[in-house]
Amino acid sequence: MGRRDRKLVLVLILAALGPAAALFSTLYAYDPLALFHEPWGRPQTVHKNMRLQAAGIIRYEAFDSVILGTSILENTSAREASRLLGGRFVNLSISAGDFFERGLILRDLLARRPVREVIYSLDFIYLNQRKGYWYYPLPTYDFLYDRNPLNDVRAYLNGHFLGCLFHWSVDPDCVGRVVDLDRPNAWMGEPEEASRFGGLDAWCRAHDSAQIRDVYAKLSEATQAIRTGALQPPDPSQKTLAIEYVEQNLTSVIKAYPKTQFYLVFPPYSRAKFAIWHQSRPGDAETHLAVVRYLAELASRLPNLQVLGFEDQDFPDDVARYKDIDHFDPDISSLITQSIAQGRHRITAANVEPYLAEATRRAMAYRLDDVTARLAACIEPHAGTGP
Amino acid sequence: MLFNSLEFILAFLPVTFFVYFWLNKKRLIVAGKSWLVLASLVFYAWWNVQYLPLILVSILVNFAIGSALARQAGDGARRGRLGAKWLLAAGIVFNLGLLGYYKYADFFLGNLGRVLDAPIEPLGIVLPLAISFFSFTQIAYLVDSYRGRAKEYDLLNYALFVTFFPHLIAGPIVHHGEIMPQFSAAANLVRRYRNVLLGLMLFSIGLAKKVLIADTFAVWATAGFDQADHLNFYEAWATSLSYTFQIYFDFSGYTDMALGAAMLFNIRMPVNFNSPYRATSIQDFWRRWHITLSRFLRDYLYIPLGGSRRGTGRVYANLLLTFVLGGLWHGATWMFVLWGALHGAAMVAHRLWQRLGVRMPALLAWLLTFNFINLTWIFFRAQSLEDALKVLRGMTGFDAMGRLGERFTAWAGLLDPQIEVGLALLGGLALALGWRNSNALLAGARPGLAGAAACGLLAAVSLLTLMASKYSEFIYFNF
Repeated sequence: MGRRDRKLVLVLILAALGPAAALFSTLYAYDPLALFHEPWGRPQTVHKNMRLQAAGIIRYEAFDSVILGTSILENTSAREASRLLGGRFVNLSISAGDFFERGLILRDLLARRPVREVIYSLDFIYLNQRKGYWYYPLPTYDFLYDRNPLNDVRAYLNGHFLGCLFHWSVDPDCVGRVVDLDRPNAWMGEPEEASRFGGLDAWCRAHDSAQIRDVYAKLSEATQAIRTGALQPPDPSQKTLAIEYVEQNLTSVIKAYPKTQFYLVFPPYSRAKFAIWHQSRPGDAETHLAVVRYLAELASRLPNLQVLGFEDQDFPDDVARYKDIDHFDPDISSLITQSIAQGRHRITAANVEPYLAEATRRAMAYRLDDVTARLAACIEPHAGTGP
Repeated sequence: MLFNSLEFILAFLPVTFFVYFWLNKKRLIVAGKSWLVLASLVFYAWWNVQYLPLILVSILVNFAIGSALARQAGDGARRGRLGAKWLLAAGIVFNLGLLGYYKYADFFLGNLGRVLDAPIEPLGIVLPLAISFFSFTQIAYLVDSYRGRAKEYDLLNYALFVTFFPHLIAGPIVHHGEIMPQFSAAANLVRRYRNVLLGLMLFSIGLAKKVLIADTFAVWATAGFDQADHLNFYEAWATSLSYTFQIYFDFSGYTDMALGAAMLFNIRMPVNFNSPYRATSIQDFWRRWHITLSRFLRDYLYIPLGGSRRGTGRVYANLLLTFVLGGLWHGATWMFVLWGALHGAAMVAHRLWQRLGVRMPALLAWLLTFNFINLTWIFFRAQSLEDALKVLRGMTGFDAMGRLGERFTAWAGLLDPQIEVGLALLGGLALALGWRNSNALLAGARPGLAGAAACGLLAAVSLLTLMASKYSEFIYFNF
């Protein structure tokens, strides 16, 4: 009786753990994101979904410095940063990444290895304090950055990667492409993006682009609000929430790692973007100014922090250098890296007020109605014909 | 730590099991018991170590009172009995005091503020895990000691009785006499493969009920209760039935896992769940659902209130009060009170019907009972009365009859909701009515190769689903 029961116990345990053990062994060998080891029997690749892929890069790539931005820094060259700043940079920027998402990656990275320098973009997401982007739900990848290796296999337990495993596919959708980590997700070379640089005429030619239609909608909304006086009502709590958001997801990390040098860059959006805030959304403008002040003060106290801003410069007025009101051309990406290396465009407690005064003056002087009218002339005739 | 977590299944349970029997094999019986207590405390503290002192203090105080009560029950002198009564009262006040402070203080302050029309700042107390269960277990122990039915003079044994991890978090609510003699039996100190096999089979079935069934219904219940502003007829019924089956398979799954885990250690826990959706009356339902809670409320509340001995009116009042307090035990909100009151009222209605002496056809009786349970779960699940009424409006709003709406489809992530939800609900009903429950499975079970392999494969699918899915908790962990 005891012997038979013992055998049945063994059968049950083998049936319970056998399939999982077989699946995990196969997934371990396939490992499309290099979460467990460097690729076996195939070249080094980088998956386009950097929220997933960064985990593998952090574990197995040789680097000591990182560019951790959003699409704003996806064109920034890690090679150029290495040449100008020293160290060995990789670009782990994640499209539409908010501070919370990047905080997960940053904490994991700093806990795993010493990091010399971090270049980080201060995108305007502090205005809404978003924690996770719906298009990439947090539960599909946040466990990769909790330093618990036992749950990492969850990244592969879905239809997509199990399908890839079934075919042992080396398709880019499964394992990524063979690209170096200079700027793996750079979009500047993609024809649809590159064709929109050059001025308003280029934006007009791209009247079917969702981004251009979004730009036009935002400009129209802003000019309408200015005309009717229906400005965004200020929300006193927004400033506090924005600063708490930056503190929780970024500056607390900076304070915890004094040996790592952080370069925080307020993205040089086109002047139209800042003008929308200052002229039609005073609440957002005030919050933005409060965050700039907070970080400038902090930069004066923390030796491992530098903050850069470009709102007092001329180039944001030049639409030709933007593919929409947010994203700038590769020369500006390079200018940012050079500015970091040369210590230019730094904002500190000493210069923050004149900097903000000049930024505000330029934003208020910008003719939003002109740009809106010119876009209306070329986009309105195509209304309803877009994708 | 959750029963359906990888750390429990792959690390905690096997390590605890092997070390316990290894110590017993070396004849280190006290060390074996100490190991089980230590492991159970780790199991408890895994959730939040902050409340570990609370359970330890609770154990020490109850042990001191309980052993004093047992001694006094032994001498039997009248003077001693008077002192024992006060000691028992002090012990019950201590347990209810802890429960009241941690579970009901903010509820009380909130309501006081509303009555006085002057908002009172809540204390912000986080409910310690399992406090409702270990408080009731220990109250039962004190009463049993007072009545001379429990005698425990060994702190280690007592700590093991309270903390033994299979029942610690969400029951069953056990009596000292049901568990401790089993730990003392020499035959139970060795690994018994029949029990290991049955325990693993039961655990696998429970895991599958939770991970594969309850968590699937949970998605649809959440979509309807928490995310929808408005529900049409079909959506509302899908929502309420989804929750009805979610809580059934959640609690039934938990119970199977608890009983299975205990069996690995040669401990048979009391039956807590006996196919409740087969009930043909509300009284029958409460004899099948959370049986040890019903037993506690009957023995330590309903009967001391007078039970059925003091006239018809008093019986009805006692029933109502018992169920209202039973509802409140589940959580400090008016929704639980309302749910309890509805069940109490149904019990009264059932008594009145019995007095008429008319026998209802079994199918009609089942239909009425099941639908009553389904409707009242709405109040149990809804966050607010508005949410509950939203579902009820949909269920009765024949003007809004239609297919599952697009929003519901999107929330629930379904491809063809008409077929998927419909089939799942029918499947849920068929399993709830037709699947043999755990005590029936255990009674005289002679598992064979096919049964063991099938349970193993069920566990394999559940484990893989568990690894691919998000975090999920047992509903009864909240109480």
